This record gives sequence, C-alpha cells and structure tokens, in this order.
Amino acid sequence: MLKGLMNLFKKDMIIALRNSLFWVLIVTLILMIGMVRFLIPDEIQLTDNRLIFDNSQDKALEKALLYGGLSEENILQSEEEVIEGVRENSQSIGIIYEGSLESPRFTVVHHGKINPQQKKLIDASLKGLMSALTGTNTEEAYQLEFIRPQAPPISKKLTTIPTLLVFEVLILGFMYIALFMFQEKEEGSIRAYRISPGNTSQYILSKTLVFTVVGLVYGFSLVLLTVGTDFNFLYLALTIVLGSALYTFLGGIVGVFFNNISEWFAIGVSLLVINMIPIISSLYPAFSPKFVTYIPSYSILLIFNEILFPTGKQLFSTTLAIVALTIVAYIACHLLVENKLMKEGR
Amino acid sequence: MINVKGLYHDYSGKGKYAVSDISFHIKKGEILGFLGPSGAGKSTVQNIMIGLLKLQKGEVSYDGRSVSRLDNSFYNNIGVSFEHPNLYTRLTGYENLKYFAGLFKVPTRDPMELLDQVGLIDSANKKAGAYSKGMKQRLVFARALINNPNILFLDEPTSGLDPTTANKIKAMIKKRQEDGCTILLTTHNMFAADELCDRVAFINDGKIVACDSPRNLKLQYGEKSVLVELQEGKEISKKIFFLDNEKDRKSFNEVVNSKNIQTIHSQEATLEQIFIRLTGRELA
Repeated sequence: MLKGLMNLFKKDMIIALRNSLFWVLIVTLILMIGMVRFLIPDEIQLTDNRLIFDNSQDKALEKALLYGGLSEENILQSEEEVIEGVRENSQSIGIIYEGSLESPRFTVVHHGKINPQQKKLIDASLKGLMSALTGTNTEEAYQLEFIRPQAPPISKKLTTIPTLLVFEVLILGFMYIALFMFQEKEEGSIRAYRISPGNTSQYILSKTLVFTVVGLVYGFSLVLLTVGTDFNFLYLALTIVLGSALYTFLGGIVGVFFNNISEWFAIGVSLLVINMIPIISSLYPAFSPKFVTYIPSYSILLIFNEILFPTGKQLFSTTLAIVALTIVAYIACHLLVENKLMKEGR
Repeated sequence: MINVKGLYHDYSGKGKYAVSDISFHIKKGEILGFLGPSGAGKSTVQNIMIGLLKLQKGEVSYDGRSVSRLDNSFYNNIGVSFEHPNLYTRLTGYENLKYFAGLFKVPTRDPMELLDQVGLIDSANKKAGAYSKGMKQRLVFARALINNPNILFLDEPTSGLDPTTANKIKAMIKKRQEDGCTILLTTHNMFAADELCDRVAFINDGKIVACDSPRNLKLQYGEKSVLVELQEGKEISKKIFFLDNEKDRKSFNEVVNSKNIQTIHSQEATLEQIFIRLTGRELA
C-alpha cells in the first residue's frame, strides 16, 4: 500500500512541479512575504473625522478635546463651517455644543440616516464626555475583568498571517485536486489508471500528500519569514496538515462533478467566497452568526490565531472537530471518486 | 480462457443496443481479431471485458470467473493498449512507464528496454505531450506490456504507424503470443488482422456476423479462382479459371501443360472483400 502510494505521490509531485500555476504560487508567496514585511504598517492610523464647534461661553469642550489630542483643524468656528465640512466629507460627523456644563445641548450633523443603535452610541459617548468634563465620571461605574492573562498587543501587519494561511495555503488543495482531475480526464490517463491495480484511496491520498507537503513548505515559509520562530511548530504543522487534507477532500468532492475548469468555475469560486466569510468575523469579532461558525475556515482561523498569537484559549475541542470533519470529508470524497470517477460508465 | 456469451450493452438505457448478443471465446495463447468499421461496437465489447463499462446483460468470464466478480488484482494480469493514447502528457515517456510499472504487484519489465523495443529510446526523456501521434501509440503499446500480461487487449495498435514501425509492433505481438499470451486485437486494418490473428470476428452494427480463421473465411466466402498470365506469341494474355467449374478446371490443366505460363496467382478474397460481401459496408 505504502509503496504504491509513494509511486503515485512521486508522479503527482512531478506533475505539480511542472505545472506553470505552481510557479505562480511561488511568486505569490514571495509577494505575500514582501507585502507583510514591507508594505503593511505596524499600526493603522485612523483619521479623526469629528468636526467640533464649541459655541459655549467658556469653550470647555474645545479645550478638553484639544488637550486630549484632537487636531486644531477639527475645531471649527461656526455652525455653517460644521455643516459645510460634513457636506464635503461624507465620513465626518459634526458636533455643535451649546449651553453650559450644567445644561449642555448638542447638535449632531451627519450624512444620511443613522439607526437607533448608532444614536444611542453617540448619546452615550457625549454623556461620557460631559461626565469627564464635570468630573462626575467614575471608573467604578464599570469594572474590567480579564478571564485570561492579557496577551501582548499584536502588530497589525502580522494579524494578516492566519488569514493568509487559511485562504492562500489551505485552499491550494481545494483548487488543485480539481485541476488534476480535469487534466487526467482530458488526457484520458484516468482510464489507464482504472485498468491498473491502483485503487481509489491511493489516488486521493497521493494528491492529498502533495498538497499537504506544498502547504507545509508554503505555510512555514510564510510564518517563519514574517512572524519568526516564537510559536508551537508541531501544532502549526498539524493544523496545516489537517487543513490541507480537509480542503483537498472537499475539492475532490466538488471536482468529481465537473469535466473542466470552465464548468467548475462558478460553483468552485462561489464555495471559495463562502469559505472566506470568516475573514469578516476575524476583522470584526462581533460578527459571528451561527452559520459562519459552521464554515471550516472559521475554526481553522481561530486555531491559527491561537498558535501564532497565544491568548491561552483552549482549542482542543475545535481541533478535534476539524479532525472529525476531515474524516467525514475523506469518506465522502472516497465514495464520490470511486463511483463517479473510477466507475464512470459503469 | 475467455468466454463472452450473450453480451448486450445499451448506453442510453432506452433499449437501443450498441452491441447485442455478442458471443465468442478465446483460447489461451490465441489471437482473436475483432474486425469492424468505426462505431461497430468493437471498443464497447473491449471496454466491458476490461471492466471500464458495466456488464449490463450477458456474461464475460476469465477461466470461469465472471468479470463482475474480479477485483483490482485482475489488472496485474492484463495489458491494454487504447486506440486514443491516454498518457500523462507532463511526464516523459520513461516516467510514464516507470510510474505504471509501480502500480503493479507483479514483476515488471525494464521501461528502457521496452522503449528501445518500440523505437522510443531516443525520446525517453522527452515529455509525452510533445510526442507525435505514432510515438504516443507506441508508448501506450509499451505500457500495455510493462507488467508481462497474460492477456492483452490491443485497440488499433498499428494505427498511424509507418510500415517499418508497424512491422516491429506486429513482431512484438507475435512474440507475446509465442510466450503464451492471449490477445484480443481490435482493428479495422484487415491486413494486420490477416497477418496476426488465428481467428477473426467480423462485427457490424453491434453484432458478430462471422467468426473463423482468416483462411477458413477466405475459403468459405472467396471464389476459388486462379489468374494466369500466358505468353501467346508476342502477346501476354490473362485468363481466370474457376476451379469449382469442371470445364474451367480442364482448361486450367491444359494451360499448365502448355508451358506458356508467365505468372500464376490464386484469386482468394481479402478479408475486406468478405466483410463487404457479408455486411454491405466497408471496414474503414
């Protein structure tokens, strides 16, 4: 079994290395590393888009905001200037303060409609601002409690690495197994394989092994050249192996239904887009509806994040779920390849 | 050795049979030629026999064992040369053979030796995708022999080859037969069939219309006539004598005794002529 598998692995690896798309991958990897190391900044500076007009006698709000670091450019001298400023920049919000500290009155100038939640947030932040000015703001109003030791802050550019691992490295298997199948169908070499003693398991596993090896080389190159060496090597290797295998099996499940890349394209790309939805959850953790958590990339992204930037989260059950999913995907892939590819016409 | 009985196959599932009631047997060490035009059903029968197509109705058995009960190890004993070369185009000729050799669980032949025999040794390290049609055909043929099969299925093995190379391939087929290999040769090349096959089966519209040795078929369906060229003075004349006709036979004897004969040829029918006579259509 092992000898046969290695024979197929060798053949598939040679074919992979002779595929021009494979060399595109190498270039992509170099670009990724270059982008992370040199193009993405450590911290992203956000522009303060608040336009303030303090129409009070003592200008307390203006002074407090300037003291807090607000640029003088954001302080305007009339209501008209605020309205004009908001009109010119749709991303800005205007705040006109009138009255006194005891009896403040705010007018908010904004574009379009704002929903009740946003309204409440603005209200709360203005109240918080006034409380700070009048000295009535107390830290005791709420308490922060950390359930795990605080993790050190992560450089913004490095937060892209787990995302690249999932959406560049792991999906290789998903696309390439389909491309290999289409090539073999077109050449007819799959018919030659069918009348040999080689079996379906070897056929699937050899390709999986190729994409796993490629995934490991690609993944480790990316991580070592960007994040460094301060992570759990074994856990990263295990996750790349599991993820590559899972996506190769999923790619096989989809690929058997099509004959060429044109037929596959719409469905294949749609699935890849769905698979990318967890990026939104990664960028905005508050967005994690139940259906997103069912997408395998969501869990794998969590695991990669924890491996590279540990926070003390226990992800054993998540890893176990990925193992179980990989086994189920393999069984489904085997059944479909056996019945649709190896017994085509039977 | 190989028994095929009452074989039917319907691709559409609507009762339109591509092959119907096909029955024949092949003895061990025999070469059976499957002769018929394109679309006659030759490849369908071969594909059912090698398990590429499902056995829908009828029986195919190898030494009494039904094809539907054979497992993957069966493929250790057979070699198949497809009509349309199906190779890994990104692998070299050598790599193609080396890879296929690795799939078998029986002793295999040296890929280089096989490449040499089919005249591809100089192109061994060239990608198969860059081979010409004839070179691909030879590589597929070499691949069919890599596992020293007991049974060979050859689909148009000499198609697209120049006469010298075709003769080389035919010699290799004959050698395999001498080594005890049983061969099903599917072709529409009557000359290759006549030269190589112990028996030929004519297949037309999915049915076998005749099955016998080429000699018997010629005797059965050909006219027993003799063409003689005679020297009559300064002129050369041709005469045909039908030996079944007593008057012709007498005249033929007289001509032979006259010693004026320049050339003499038996006028046996070719397999193609017999096929046309039986089916009303040409082989090509």
